[in-house]
Amino acid sequence: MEPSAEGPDEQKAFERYLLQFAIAEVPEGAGERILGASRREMAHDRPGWLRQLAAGLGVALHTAPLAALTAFLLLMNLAVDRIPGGAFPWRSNMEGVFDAAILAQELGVSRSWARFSLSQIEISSGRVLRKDRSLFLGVLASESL
Amino acid sequence: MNETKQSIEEIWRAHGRPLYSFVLSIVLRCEDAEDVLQNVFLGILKVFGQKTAIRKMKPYLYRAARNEALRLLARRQRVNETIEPDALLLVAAPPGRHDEAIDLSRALTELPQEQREVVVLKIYHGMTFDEIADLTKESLNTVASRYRYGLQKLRLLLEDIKGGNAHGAIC
Repeated sequence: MEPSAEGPDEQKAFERYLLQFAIAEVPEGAGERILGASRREMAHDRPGWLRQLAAGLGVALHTAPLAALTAFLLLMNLAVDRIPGGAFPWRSNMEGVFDAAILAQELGVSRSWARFSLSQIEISSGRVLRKDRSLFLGVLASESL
Repeated sequence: MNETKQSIEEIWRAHGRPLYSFVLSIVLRCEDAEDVLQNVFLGILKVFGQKTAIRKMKPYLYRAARNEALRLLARRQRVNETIEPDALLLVAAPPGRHDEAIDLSRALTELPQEQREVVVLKIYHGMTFDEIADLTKESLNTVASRYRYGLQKLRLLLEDIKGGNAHGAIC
């Protein structure tokens, strides 16, 4: 709908009305949640090994594309099945915890592969509840490479 | 002032509420606003870790928050995610005027995002058209026109809402 013509006085009056309100309140505990989750994620950030894994995947795809892709897809599928309820992350509450070590053991691949696969799921999921994502990253970070 | 010496808590105390309010006015969902801000503060921590100076914290924060929020909107579009636009409070009311705040919030959510952004930044964040143009990378004329049209439309929406339906939920 096209707005009707409005004079400067009416606009000023409406602005004064709007200014009687203030910006939205922050929900209780939001600051602690946001800063805490940012800190945890920062602490668990592993750009070095992520880069290495990404490079490794690139090499694997170049040298043995079928094997690399098969392993990757298997890991992806198994990892998705591990999400409680079998749902994709953006539909799930992710109350459980991914376990890269178990994933790796079941498929006979390295933990790095399992972690990388899980990180891909997380990245591609579009949206994961932050607190659970932090928990997920925390679990991964607590395992030694 | 070299603001990198500020702690993350100090930055939150100084900018948290306006940033949250701004992001909420874009993403229209409380949990998403928190997600967006988590990424923004993670970005600050990374910058701190690299000992890089953030010369002007407020513009940096608004830009980072806006970029993150728009990324989230783009992701929503990709997965065809829909949201419930009524379920939030975009403004805080003076005592005894809670219902008006709900009406105004609802009217704001019904504005096109580009107009809502300019109205919110100008009215509730005290930004000048220059600052908004800089943040949104739009021309001054575009920003001023979005503001004017936004106010006009907002007024009509408010009249419609006040003359009609009742509604509720808040985050």
